[in-house]
Amino acid sequence: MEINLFKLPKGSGRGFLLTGISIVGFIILISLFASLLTSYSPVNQVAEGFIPPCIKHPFGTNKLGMDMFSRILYGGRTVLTVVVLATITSMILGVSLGLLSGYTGGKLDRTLSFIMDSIYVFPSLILAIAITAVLGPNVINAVIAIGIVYIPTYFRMVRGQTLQIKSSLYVEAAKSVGAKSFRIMRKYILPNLLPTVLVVFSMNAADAILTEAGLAFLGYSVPPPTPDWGFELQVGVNYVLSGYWWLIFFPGLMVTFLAMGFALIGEGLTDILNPRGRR
Amino acid sequence: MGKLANYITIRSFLAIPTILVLVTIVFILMRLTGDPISAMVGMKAPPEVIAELRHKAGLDLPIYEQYIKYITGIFTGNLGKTLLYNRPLIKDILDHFPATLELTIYAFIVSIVLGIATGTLAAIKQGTTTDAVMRIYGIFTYAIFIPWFGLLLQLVFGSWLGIIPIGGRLSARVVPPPFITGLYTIDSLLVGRPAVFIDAFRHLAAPAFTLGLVLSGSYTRIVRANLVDIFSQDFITAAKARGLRESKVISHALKNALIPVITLMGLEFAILLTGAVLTETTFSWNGLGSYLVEMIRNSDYIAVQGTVVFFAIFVSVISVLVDILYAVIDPRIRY
Repeated sequence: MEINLFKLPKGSGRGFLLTGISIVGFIILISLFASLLTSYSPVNQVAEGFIPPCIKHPFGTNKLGMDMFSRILYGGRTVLTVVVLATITSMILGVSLGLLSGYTGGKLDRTLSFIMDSIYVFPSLILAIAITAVLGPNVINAVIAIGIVYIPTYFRMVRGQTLQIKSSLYVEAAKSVGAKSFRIMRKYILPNLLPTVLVVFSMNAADAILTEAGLAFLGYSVPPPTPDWGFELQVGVNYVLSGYWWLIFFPGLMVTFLAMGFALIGEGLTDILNPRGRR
Repeated sequence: MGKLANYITIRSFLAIPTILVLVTIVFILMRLTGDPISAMVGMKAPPEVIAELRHKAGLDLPIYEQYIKYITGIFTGNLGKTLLYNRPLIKDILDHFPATLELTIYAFIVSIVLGIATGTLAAIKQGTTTDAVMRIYGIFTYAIFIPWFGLLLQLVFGSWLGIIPIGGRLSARVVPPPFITGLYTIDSLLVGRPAVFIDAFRHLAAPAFTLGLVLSGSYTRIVRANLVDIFSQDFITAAKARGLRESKVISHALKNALIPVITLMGLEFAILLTGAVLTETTFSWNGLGSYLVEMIRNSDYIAVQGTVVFFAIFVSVISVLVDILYAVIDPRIRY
């Protein structure tokens, strides 16, 4: 099913989708053009420490006198890089394994489903922590950890749909004229999965953002002083009693805002693609 | 044997392979590090010291023997000793577990109450602004970053207004109640110390609310969807036609709408535990999540491995319990 952004059906779905796209788009833009929006470096001392928000430093400064506004703009790059790479990794692996498993069936299907279900019921952040603890904290390992954790999300959905489509008449027809399995999966089944994959992708991106921020909060994402929203909060924990609210409020707001953007896109897409069965 | 007893037995046995898959994944992951001992003591330690530590932890055995020892250890409750303090790991875990259990139970109650209330409200006012607001509530709470919300509560209610304590399970001057269940709010009442109960409850309020709020959105969604579905069914129309009061009708519908909520509880439990790790760290809550984070910081991989295994078993046990609860309520799904 085609989605034309300029000809969306009226209804709450459209509102959700467009709001979500605006939020995500806005954050992508400010992160990309960070250097145009601030002249301060995110990793150097530019002023005194703990200056509350003011005109020169709209989000204040931290202990080391770094500009928080600049750290948040540049931090968006870290978050977006990790999340985009991770969700694409889980999407590619989850979709292909799910497709293969559902189409082939038999022993392979049972084994894969069982492993995927086991990972699925496991608390995602704890698994991601275990993986980064083993691999060591850096951006690539955060991508690997988050990427692995969310494979089952795609796998389960794709496998289920493949089972349905597999028994449909046109797949039977393709088989009967001698189409190879790989061709059937790629040409006849995969395109039908795309709308659902899109919904899962946007919901999953919201989860991945929260997991990345969680990892960073616990100190397992990027090494300091690289700016990263979740990590700012880990620092902020120490300043609750001092009342330095700007060290906590802005970075956390960005995490929630971005996750909400993706969740809104997912919600809107669900409405538009499947107007009757809103889960 | 009755059908239900049959189902319970079969379902419990089915949990064993799930646990095996999870602990095997953890085992493989932890062995990828190479050697937990040198990771901990660093490369500078003399080789004999490393060799002795490796021998003590059984790391000089062939990998398959380590695996067999590890699996049998899990089923006999022996998870090895922590590298750092050389204490039996199972003792450390059981010391920290009640704190996590207490937090998750209260958070669970908060999420169910908020979820049912908002979901019912949305369904009754279906299609109105209230419905839309409740839907946005669902999306927003889902996206809340726990440490952010938790720290904001601490800032506003702890630091500025001084109404709640900033972190921990009890005030420093309060003596913890004797260990009965390990849950302070229950133990304090059992031994008749209401002052301790109040203190424990005040510490629990903010973390439990934070975690509960974040989870409530999923319940809002499912309660609303089920209620809307049920409102259109014949027995509700019939009940209305007989002139039943609106509140009665809603309570009839709600009973039916809550059955699928139980299935969701099982899945939500994993999310609850993920949230608990962040909530515990945010509120200096001395539970298993904080313990896990601390052990990773110490590079104590034996402790990390054991704690993750314990989480895996805990999740599996809960999913069995949820399935059994479901079978008790809905006889159709028994084998």
